[in-house]
Amino acid sequence: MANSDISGEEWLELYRYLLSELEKGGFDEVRAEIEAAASAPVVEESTPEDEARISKLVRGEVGKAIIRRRSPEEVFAAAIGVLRSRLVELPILASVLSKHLGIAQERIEFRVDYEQRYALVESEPVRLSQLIVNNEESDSLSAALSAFRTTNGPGKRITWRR
Amino acid sequence: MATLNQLKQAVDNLLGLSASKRLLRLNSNTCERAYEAYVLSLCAEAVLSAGGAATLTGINTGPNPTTVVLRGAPGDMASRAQDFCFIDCVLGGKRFEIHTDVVYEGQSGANHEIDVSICEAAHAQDVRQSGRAPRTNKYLIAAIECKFYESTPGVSLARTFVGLVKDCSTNRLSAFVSNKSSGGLDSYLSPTWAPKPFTDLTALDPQAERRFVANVEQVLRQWERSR
Repeated sequence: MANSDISGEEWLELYRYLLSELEKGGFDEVRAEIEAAASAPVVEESTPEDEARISKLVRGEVGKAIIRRRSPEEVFAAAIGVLRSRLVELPILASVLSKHLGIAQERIEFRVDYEQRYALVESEPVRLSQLIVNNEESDSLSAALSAFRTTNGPGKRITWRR
Repeated sequence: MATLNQLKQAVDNLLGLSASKRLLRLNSNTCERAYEAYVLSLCAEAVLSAGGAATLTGINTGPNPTTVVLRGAPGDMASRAQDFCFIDCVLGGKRFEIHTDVVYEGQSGANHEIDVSICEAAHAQDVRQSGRAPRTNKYLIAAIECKFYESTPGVSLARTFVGLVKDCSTNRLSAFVSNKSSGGLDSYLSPTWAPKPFTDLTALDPQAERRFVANVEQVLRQWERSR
């Protein structure tokens, strides 16, 4: 993360703090998504120098990918990446969809294909407007997320280029 | 320099916002459906840029319904349980429809959910009349798999979609569309036999939107000129 010099242990503590706060808030699905993202290994392409070094070490052919664990900072960045997708990208997408269809957001909803009385609670009709934020909310979200701005990786700042 | 305590405070600030509480409570299904609907809306744009007409149509109420009901889960194209909407399109002298989240019967007889599909209107009408499933045959013009990734994508969904495409007769466009890419995903979709990849399609990037719309438009123009 830019503008910080906290240790690996502290990044992990921050990550665990985020998970516990999500659990307290009842955001179980997002928490699970974050855990999956954070535990996924990083796949990197090897450099030509690496390739030259490896070709001297082994006789047979091996793959070019290097698979490694995330560093503590990358674990937290992956978590913030998930939050950015949900809090920034999704509302913009929902808003653009309404514009493309030329239909007011209040008039668009998602419903399941069977009797509502049989539906799971989370399948209840969802109005598109629930996915959209107003300008004030958008500014607050951007300001809150800017505290985690990174120089690289999934936590990088997303700007709306429209 | 941010300290650990300052960053914890920043977490509290973020999760304390009312917008965060509302958006984090959504289930991932809703995010997926919204992304599919977004892709549907881009397909409608492609029809308009090709010079065609696209009309939102409710299965029960007809053109321009008061409430646009989109599928919150995969279902039957003929279902009238809700006033599900599709886009009724005309291009040149030909009619076709754009649907989201409809279950098709593959060439093998297995069923497949296609996130966004474009099929000939006559076939869709047969399906609505008969109550049977649509087929992934020559009437299916395009099959589009959509995925709203919240983290780095892997290849498993693309692998599954490759299997689905093999169970279709040759349609004009098979595309894998997602909001994020990864080296692995791009490599997997790079061979010519793979579905056409649009792995950067997001509302944050109008250039990627234009590329997708132009591709769909070209497919529709070619289809319209055929036969």
